[in-house]
Amino acid sequence: MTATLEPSADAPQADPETPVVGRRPDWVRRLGPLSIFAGPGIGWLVLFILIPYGGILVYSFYTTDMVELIPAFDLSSLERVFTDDVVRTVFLRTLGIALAVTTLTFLIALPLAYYAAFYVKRKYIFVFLIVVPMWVSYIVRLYSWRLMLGEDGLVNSGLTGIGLIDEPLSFLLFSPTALVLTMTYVYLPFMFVSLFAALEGIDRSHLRAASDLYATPWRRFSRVTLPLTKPGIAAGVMLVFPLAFGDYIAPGLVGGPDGQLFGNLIQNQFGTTFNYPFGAALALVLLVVVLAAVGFLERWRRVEDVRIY
Amino acid sequence: MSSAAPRIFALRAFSVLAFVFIYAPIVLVVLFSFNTSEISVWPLQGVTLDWYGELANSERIREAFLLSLRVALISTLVAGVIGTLLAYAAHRFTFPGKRMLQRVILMPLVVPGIVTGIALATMFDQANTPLSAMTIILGHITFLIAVFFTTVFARLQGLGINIERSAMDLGASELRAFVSAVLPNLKLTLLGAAVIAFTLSFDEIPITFFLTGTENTVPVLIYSMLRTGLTPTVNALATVSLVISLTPIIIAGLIGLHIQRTRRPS
Repeated sequence: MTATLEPSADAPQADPETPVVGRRPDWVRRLGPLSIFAGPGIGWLVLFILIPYGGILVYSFYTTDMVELIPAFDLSSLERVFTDDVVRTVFLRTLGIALAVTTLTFLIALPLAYYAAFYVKRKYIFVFLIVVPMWVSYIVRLYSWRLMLGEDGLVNSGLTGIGLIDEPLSFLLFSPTALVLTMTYVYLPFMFVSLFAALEGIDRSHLRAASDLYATPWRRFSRVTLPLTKPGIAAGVMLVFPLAFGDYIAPGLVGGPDGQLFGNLIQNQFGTTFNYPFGAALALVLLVVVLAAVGFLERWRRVEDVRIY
Repeated sequence: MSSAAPRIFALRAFSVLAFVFIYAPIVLVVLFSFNTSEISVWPLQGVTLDWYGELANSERIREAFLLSLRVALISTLVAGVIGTLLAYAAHRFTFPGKRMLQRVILMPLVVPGIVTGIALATMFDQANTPLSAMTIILGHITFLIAVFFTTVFARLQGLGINIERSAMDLGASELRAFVSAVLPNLKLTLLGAAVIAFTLSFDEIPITFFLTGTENTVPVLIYSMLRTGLTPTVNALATVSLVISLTPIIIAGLIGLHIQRTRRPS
C-alpha cells in the first residue's frame, strides 16, 4: 500500500512525439480525448469529494435548531472547539493514543520486516502470511480482541492458568490499554508492509561497504540501514497515524469510558446530540490534524537526502 | 559469522511470537463459532454447527449479505471504469491542475473515514436524498476510485508510452490506442485492483456507517450486534465474513506465488 500515498510521477510527461505546436499547449490540442478520459473522474471528484468536504467547512459556521441546519455566519461552533474542556481532553488523549499505537506498530513491525528482508529465504510466503490478516474484515479483528481481552478471555484464563494472577484482570477490556493493544493489532500490517518495502529496496552494496569499513552490526544498522528506511517509516506512519487518530469504531467497542476518542466526539454530534455545526467544526479539526501530519511526513522524508557515512 | 547467530535467533523468536499475536485472535473467533456454549468463554465446550444454522435462517443476515455483495460488485465496477480512465489521463496527458487532481483523488484514503462519512451524509441530507443502498454505493465508489487510480497509474508508468505510440504510428486514434493496445496490458493489474477493491468495499465500516439507511451491510450489522448484545451467532457471522474477505486475496496470493516461481531462473 506504500504506493498509494505517493504518486511517483507528478512531473509532466515528456512526450517527444507531440512537440508543442506554436503556443497552443498540448492539453488544449488534445482536449477531446482528454475530456473523455478525465471528464467522468473529475466530475465525480468535484461532486463527491470537493463539494462534501467544502460542505464541512461551510456547515461549521451554520447554526442549528437540533433538527435542521440554519445558514449563518456563526463562529460559536468553532469557538467551542477551541475552548471546550472536554474537546481539549479528548483531543490530547487521542493524540497520545494515536502516537502510542504508531510507535508500537513501528517497534513490532521493524524487527519483523528486517528479518523478512534480510534473513528469510522464502520471503514471499513470510510476507504473505503477515499481510493476510490485514484482509480479514476490520470489524472481525476488533471483535477477536474482545474475545481475547474479556474477563473470561484467552489472556485472562491464560494468566490465571499459569498462576501469574489469581483474579481475572478486569481492566483488560474497555480501557485505553485495550484500545491501544487492539489498534496496534489492527494497524500492524500497514506498518509492516511499508517498512518491508523500504528495507527490501535497500542496495545491499551499501551494507557491504559499511561492513568493509569496519562498522559494527549495530552501527551499520543505525547509521546505514535505518536512515535508508526513512521513506518506509514515513509511509507507515502516514498510514497508521491518521487511521488511529480518526478511528471511532475501535474506541466504541473496546475503549470503555476513558477510551473514547476524537472520532467518537464527532460521531455523537451526528448520532445522539444532532449538533451538525459543532460536529462539522470537530471534523474540520480532524481533517487539519491529519493533513498537517501527512504534509509534515512528506517533508520529513526528503528533508536531507539520506547521507551515508 | 558466529556473532550473527544470537541476533538471528532473537529475530526468529520474535517472529514466532508475532505470528502468534497475529493469528491467535482470528483462530479464536473461528473456534468459538463451532463451540456449543451460549457464551464465548474459554475453555471450549463441544462442537456444533448450530450457530451456522441460525445464520442461514436469519432473514436479516441474508439481506445484509446480499446488500454487501451488491454494493461491492457495483462499486468495484464503476470505480474501475472511472479510476482507470483517470489514471490513463494522468499518465498520458499534461494539463493544468494535474498535481492537484492526484492529491484530491487520494483524499478519501488519507482522510479518516469518519470525515468522508459525515461529509457525504450531510450533503445527502441537504440534498434531501434519503440514505439507502444507493448512497452507500456512491460513497464506496468515491474511495475505490483512488484504489484503481493508484494501481493502474503505477502499472502505466511501468509500461511507458511506447505501446500507445506504436499504435498511433500505425494510424490508431487516441481512443483506439487505449482500447486495443493499452487495455490488454492492464488485465492482470485490473484483476488485482478489483480483488482489493471488492474486499475493501465488502469490509468498509467508517464511511458506510453514516451512509446506511434501513438496510445494513454485513460489517455494519456485526458492529450493531456487538453494540447491543453478544450471541455466538456473531462468531459464525464473523467467520463467514472472514472467509469471504480472505478467499480472493489468498487466490491472488497463490497466483502471485506461482508467477514468482515460474519466473525465477534456476
